[in-house]
Amino acid sequence: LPSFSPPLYDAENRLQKVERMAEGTSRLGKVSQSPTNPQAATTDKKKAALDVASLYEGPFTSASGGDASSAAKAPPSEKLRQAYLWIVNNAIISPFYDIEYNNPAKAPFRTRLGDSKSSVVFPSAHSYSSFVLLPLLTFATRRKCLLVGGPGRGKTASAILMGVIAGYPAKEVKRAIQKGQPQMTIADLLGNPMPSDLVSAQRMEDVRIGWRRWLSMRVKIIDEYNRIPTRTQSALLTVMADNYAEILDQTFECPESAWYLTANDDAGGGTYQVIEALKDRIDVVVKALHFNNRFLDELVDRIENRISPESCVPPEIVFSEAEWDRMYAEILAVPVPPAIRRRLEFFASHLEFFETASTQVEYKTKDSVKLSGLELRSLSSKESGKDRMKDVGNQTVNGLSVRALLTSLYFVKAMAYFRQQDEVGLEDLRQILPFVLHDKLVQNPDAPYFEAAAHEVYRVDKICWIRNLFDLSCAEYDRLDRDREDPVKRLLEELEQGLDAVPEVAVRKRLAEIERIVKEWEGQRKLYGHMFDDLLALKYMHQRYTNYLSWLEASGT
Amino acid sequence: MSAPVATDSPLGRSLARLRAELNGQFAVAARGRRELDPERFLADFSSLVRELSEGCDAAALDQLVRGVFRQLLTLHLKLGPADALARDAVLGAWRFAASAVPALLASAPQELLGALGNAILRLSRVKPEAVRPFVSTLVELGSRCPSLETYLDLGTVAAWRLGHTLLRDAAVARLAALPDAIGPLLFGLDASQAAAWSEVAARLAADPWLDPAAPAGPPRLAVVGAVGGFVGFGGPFLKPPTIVKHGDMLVAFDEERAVRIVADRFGLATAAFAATRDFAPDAAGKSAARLDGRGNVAFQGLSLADPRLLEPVSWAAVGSTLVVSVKHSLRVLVIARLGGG
Repeated sequence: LPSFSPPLYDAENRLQKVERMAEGTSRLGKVSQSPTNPQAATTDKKKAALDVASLYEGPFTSASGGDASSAAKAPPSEKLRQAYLWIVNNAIISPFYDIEYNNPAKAPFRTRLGDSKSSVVFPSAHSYSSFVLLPLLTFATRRKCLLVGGPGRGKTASAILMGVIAGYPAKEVKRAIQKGQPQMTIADLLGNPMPSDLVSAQRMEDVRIGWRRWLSMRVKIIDEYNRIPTRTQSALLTVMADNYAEILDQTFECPESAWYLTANDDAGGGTYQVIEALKDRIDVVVKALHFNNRFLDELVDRIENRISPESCVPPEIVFSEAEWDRMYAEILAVPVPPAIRRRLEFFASHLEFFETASTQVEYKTKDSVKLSGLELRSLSSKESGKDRMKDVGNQTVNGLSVRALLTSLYFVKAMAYFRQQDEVGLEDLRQILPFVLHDKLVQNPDAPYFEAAAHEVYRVDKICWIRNLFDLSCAEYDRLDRDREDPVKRLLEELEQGLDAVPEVAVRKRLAEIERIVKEWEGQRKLYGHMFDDLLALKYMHQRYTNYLSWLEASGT
Repeated sequence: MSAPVATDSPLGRSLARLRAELNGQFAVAARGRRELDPERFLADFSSLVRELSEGCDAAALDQLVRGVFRQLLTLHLKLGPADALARDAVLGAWRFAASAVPALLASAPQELLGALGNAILRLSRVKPEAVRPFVSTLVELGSRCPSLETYLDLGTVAAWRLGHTLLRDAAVARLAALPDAIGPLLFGLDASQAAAWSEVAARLAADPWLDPAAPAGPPRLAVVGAVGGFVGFGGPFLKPPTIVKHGDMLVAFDEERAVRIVADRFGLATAAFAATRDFAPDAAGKSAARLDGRGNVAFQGLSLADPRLLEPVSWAAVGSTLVVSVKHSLRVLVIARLGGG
């Protein structure tokens, strides 16, 4: 045979795909049929080139968003991206790209402006508006989103759109909104017992309850939740936390759902103080950004054409329950690579440690201080040796709960899924954490870090503060070269293999190794949060090996 | 413009119910799109929805109106004045073919109209002369389809049968699923041969050169056509291509492009071929035939002399199909073993 070398699939195809995408993002009142993620174009094009035989592919789409044959439907991830594009292009005027991604091969445009020489970055890769994207990811992951911002900024409108995307008619979504107000009772929120049953019933369980419709919906909207009276908030907490409602010993099991709560002012400006437990149930906080007045023509257009976005959501971006379930399963399957997981572990480990909280290592936490009722500041000065400017943990008064970590994982997976990535990337984590930890991580106002002129701004903007906090943690992680130099990780992996048939000599060797690492730390005067978690892990392993060794000795094996 | 829809008719009530929704969708779609002419759209919508909703159950009317509206909007957005022929062809298909299957239309209006629209657009580009007989086939046989899926299968097989050769794999895969009352009629067989349809379908799948309606005749080789051509005239090649067998495909390529050659009784075509690093030509493709350079070919125990086969450059065969490139042309010749039962 001669040398057979047909031209390989090349970059030209990719370019065409990107061009088509740019075309598709034009201001159509329809869902773009071009691919929503140019990074994934290579694979898509390859598939398309091999499938030359579809008669029914073309501009006309089915009600479910796929090609107009019953067999082909857009996968949920594509539908999610189409929904995002449709909302930002047609529904929510949010020309912001505050969730920034950059192409590693192409530097972003950077400059500094004003007296303060504020950094301005024009990202070089597909970036997103948090106000649209995070509510969508909340829908995809069935979490709870708080939309905060001044009146008339589209918080409720955004939540209504999520309800429509979940398949409910706009009117039904609007009717199902629970509007917080000072007179709101538990019956207003959950439902009423049947009046006839109240008279005739012999037992409490015979009293039927007319449950409110919203409880059975997959999207739940609570407007101005900080105007709900405290007692009613407690009833709401049961629904949010445990997914059921209770009246007169009768319960109503709610389906899994995405929640949207709105507040004009989350810093206590509501009629009632929001109970801590309810606040803690909120997974992600999104700010409604201001209206960019350059886009006033959009408002004129809406008035003149009587456009009400929620009433003209195209069916292509409406999710059936099955698609919603499939999307959730696919999101959960997105892997978090060990290297990314380590970054999150390392970051979280800084936050809980508080050296002077106890003499026993397990209780050296900020939580111990909080439970004691003492102020963190009263003990802070006793912490010695550490550079408080550099200590990441010094910037917060609390650590991360398991719920906060779980929520972070849900959202980073969803972010990677939305971006059509095979696994979670470091930038996904960096971009998501500020929104998840917004109301969970409390700033330490006494931290010396914020006294530096360049850092004062972090007292105001929590999103940038948390992102900066994560960057500082990553810088420390890199300085310690933890991707390569992590003896504790190696020991944990060794233990994870199991203890079955591990000989006594190997166990003694591992114990000696654990003790050697801890001994090495004796020489260091400073103890930081990441060392605290490592120390506890070493103690855990030491205990496991010690117990196993005792057993070996006792059993004579 | 047609007369207004009576407000007290089921269609009028449906339009009243959906007024805000449809108006909103049109307004959003029309933003920045001057070519979207409201009056022309309304005229088309009014007549189309009236025709397609005739006899539609009132309960399914809203869904039908929405489906017609959305697909017509797509038509008006995507096809401008330069595409007038294709636009009229799609509208014609909706009027004639869709109205011939009212039950299917009512059950999934957007899917059915969308599928028809896409099929007509594709045929208009690939095989324009097939559009009219395609619609006629759907009008004639569509009502025998019990479901939308069968209807779409009918469309795929009909388009292939009418010369959209690239649909061969997809159509062959659907042959067996076609009801006995449809399959034989598509291939010019009469209803009495319905019982043997599954056997005919299997033979059609196995032999790309079978004409089930014609007597087989003695086995023979024939040059059945030529595909490809110079890139400057819309073809894929800059020089006579190399032909190879790759799996069950025939691939032709020069330094610039590679195409897959698809050929059967109903047509010849090329399709873009994306070669990957695992591309593995099969030497058996070439050794299956012998060409002597003087216009003679020996293939499948048969021989053929044809002056068009002088000075062959490259050749390969898959099954009963042989493709040859020659020195003096950028169109490759397709030779088939015909007949023989």
